[in-house]
Amino acid sequence: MTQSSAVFSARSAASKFLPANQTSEAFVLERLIARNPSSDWVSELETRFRDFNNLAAGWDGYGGQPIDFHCARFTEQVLEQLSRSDLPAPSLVPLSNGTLQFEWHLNDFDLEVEVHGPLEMSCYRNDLLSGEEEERLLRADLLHLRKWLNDMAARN
Amino acid sequence: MPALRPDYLPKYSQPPLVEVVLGVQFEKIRDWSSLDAGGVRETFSSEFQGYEEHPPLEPRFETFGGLRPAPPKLQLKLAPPVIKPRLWLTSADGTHLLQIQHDRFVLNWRRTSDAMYPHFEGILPYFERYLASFEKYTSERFGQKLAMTQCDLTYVNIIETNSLSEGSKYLKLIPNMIDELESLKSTYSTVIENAEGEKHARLRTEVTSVFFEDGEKSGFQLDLSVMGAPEDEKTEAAIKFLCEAREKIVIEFEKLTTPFAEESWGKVK
Repeated sequence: MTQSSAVFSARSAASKFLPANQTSEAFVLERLIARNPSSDWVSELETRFRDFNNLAAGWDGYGGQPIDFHCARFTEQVLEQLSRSDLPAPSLVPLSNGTLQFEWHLNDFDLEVEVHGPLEMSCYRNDLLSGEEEERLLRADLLHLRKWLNDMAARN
Repeated sequence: MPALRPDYLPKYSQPPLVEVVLGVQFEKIRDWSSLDAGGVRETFSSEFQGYEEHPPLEPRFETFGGLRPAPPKLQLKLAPPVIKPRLWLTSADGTHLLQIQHDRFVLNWRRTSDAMYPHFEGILPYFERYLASFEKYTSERFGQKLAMTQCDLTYVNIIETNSLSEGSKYLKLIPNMIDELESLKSTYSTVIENAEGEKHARLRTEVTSVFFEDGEKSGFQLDLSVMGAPEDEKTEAAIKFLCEAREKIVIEFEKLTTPFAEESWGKVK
């Protein structure tokens, strides 16, 4: 089961069943907390995420809004999906409107992704060698962003 | 809006379903507080008398095209500054469970020993009615309509067998060349595109061997789940998503099950 919104109570017919080699308590706990180890990028940025998560209103001295938890969670998921060992983790910066941006300035590329909220990203790439600039609005499909990262890694 | 039961969908008189979960995730209600536990409880008090509090479900969003098509992991590391609990409201007969938190609304139907499966078309109207009551509550209290971001539908089946080696009689996913199967776990996912060809949802299937608590019998748990983004943030789009998800799940279920299983579960068309 991949999502923990399906739950069994003691009265459910399903509660008579246990996955092989597990107690019922372990089963319930696993459904709540089981996860694989995080990607390198997410592990590396964990402290940053935590810090941002605790930013109070006015954190930047100019009325900055606290970082939206859904926005942070979505950003974490995106980075989890994109993480690769041949590129360093991006810089992660909070924005005063409560959103986040992650960016690389590497291998003659500027690559910036502003996460306005879940499934809402503005992506910008500047190829400093060719002078070519590109902008994309992405929702759930990260394929284009992955191709940009391929280009950046290939120029290493 | 798709028909509640399209003619081409197979139907079973005695499916091995033990649980159906319909859920929506929405933009969080910013001013939600512990006081709302009382308000929500009151809203549903005539049908849901049981009350419990549980840790909240994390927000999650289906994305595509990444390097890891695995299910999103539950990252308890990143928690909101204030943990707001998930409320559990249970019906007296134990068949229905409402799960409500500041960004989720979930209805579980669970088979109890004497309950007949009402089929999706029997569950969905309840979900719609309860969701409408919840929206009325949030609208009156916060002046905020729910803005849906993700929807999910899950079917949990328990297929009972005398031994795990019998599993291949029911499910095509289970290998029949293994004599003394002790345990099994198998998962896969497929991407679902919308009418515009945009990837927007994912179907996940998981088969896991299970045992009865009494140790006498064994079987398999087959979970089929669709999660993704509705076409817009309105409630109608969420309901449409759930109807389409049901079709995907039932068609996948039919693909996975053998003629022997279909006969056992009373496939009527």
